[in-house]
Amino acid sequence: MLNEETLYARFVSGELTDQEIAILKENGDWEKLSKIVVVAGTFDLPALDKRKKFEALIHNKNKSTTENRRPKIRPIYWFGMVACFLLLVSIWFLLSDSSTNISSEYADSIRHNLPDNSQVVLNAGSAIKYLEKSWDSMRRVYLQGEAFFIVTPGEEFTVETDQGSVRVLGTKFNVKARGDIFEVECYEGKVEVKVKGKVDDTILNAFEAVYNDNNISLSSNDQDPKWINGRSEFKNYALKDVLDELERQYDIKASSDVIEEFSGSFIHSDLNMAVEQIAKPLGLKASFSNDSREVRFTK
Amino acid sequence: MSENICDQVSFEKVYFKHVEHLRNFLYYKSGNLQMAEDLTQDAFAKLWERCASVVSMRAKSFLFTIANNLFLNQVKHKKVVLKFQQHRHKEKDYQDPQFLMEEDEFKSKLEKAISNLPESQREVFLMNRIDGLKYREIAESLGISVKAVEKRMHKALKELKEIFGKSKF
Repeated sequence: MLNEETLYARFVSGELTDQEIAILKENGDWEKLSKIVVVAGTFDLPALDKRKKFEALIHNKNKSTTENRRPKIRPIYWFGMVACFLLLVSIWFLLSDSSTNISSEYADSIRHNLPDNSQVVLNAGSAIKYLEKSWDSMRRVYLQGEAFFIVTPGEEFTVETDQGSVRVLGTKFNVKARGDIFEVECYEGKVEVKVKGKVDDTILNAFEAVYNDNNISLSSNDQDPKWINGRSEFKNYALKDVLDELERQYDIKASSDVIEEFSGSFIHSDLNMAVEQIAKPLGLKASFSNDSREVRFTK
Repeated sequence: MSENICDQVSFEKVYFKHVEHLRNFLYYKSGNLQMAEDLTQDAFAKLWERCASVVSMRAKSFLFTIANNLFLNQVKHKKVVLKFQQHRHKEKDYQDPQFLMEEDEFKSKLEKAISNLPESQREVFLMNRIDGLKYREIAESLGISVKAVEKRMHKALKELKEIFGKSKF
């Protein structure tokens, strides 16, 4: 009979009798066991640096006899504890410097004083965000939409938008960052414009502007952007973008199935006149819905 | 022979001879490499403390006994998950991908099955397969009989053979 208790063990050590071998081959165990034994034999553990470990042991041993075995907190843990503490403190600082959020609704415009008395005027449907406590060390505003800045001279002042950033010292400038549109107009001083995804910066002097990629001169009669004085002005704008601005200024719905380019302006104080100012140059008809909340431009 | 190992040269010899087997043994038990390496160092530290009373011939079983005790003193048993590196032979690089994939699949199945073995069987099986220790050497380390080692080995293989039943292998 087979010695069942150690059969497979003796398979591994090669101590089987001929009879046992025959039986294992016949019932298929031979092949299975071979595979297990061979594959397990290819298993390995990470190499052990014996020399280094030995040195460490001897080192610890000598220390523990001289130092009377203090409960060991390894230096690396001390480092870790200190680092964790510093991290927590800095996170607390960052979180406690909560951001100030200012936003303007549709048909609304807001004038806001920044901590250093620099001024921001938000056009309708726009928002800014900045950190008040760290303002002195970093004058940085995040903008969505359009705003006019009058910056008190001082340290670098940065406006970040999704479309690019504007860096200035002390100056007056307007930033419009909406969808595909990124326009910067400089009215005083100097600004540096960085369009997202572009390597080169553009420097704007007073009365210069970038409309997306094009550098343009502004009339030196203009001390402020038009919208500050109640008028939106456009040069070669897609009608759709003009209607978006109309929606923001009057908080209505405006639509058109016509694809046109528009150059001109509309006022913010009278909807009927504004609609006329858009429709007329393009030869379009404008019709209002019954509740006057929607306007549609057609051929 | 009754020489002790209190001089650094003898101790170093003992260390280099056993350290890897001991580390591996503790890994087979715990599935935790860091713990295995720490406890290995602790076991040797204990050996050094008692060097006067342990002759070099007895050092191995002393180390394994101490290591086993240290391991038992650690946190309560968790489920062990063993992972191994695999040294493939060069010529296997030319095997077709299908074959290699099946090999990998088999490897992980085997790893899992080994992890699920009772500790006493698992350590015997792996000390033999990975460390290449003979049953007699394993018996010495664990302080049990060769017959007991063989029984554990047999049981381990019988259990591992089950993975063929559950798959196409």
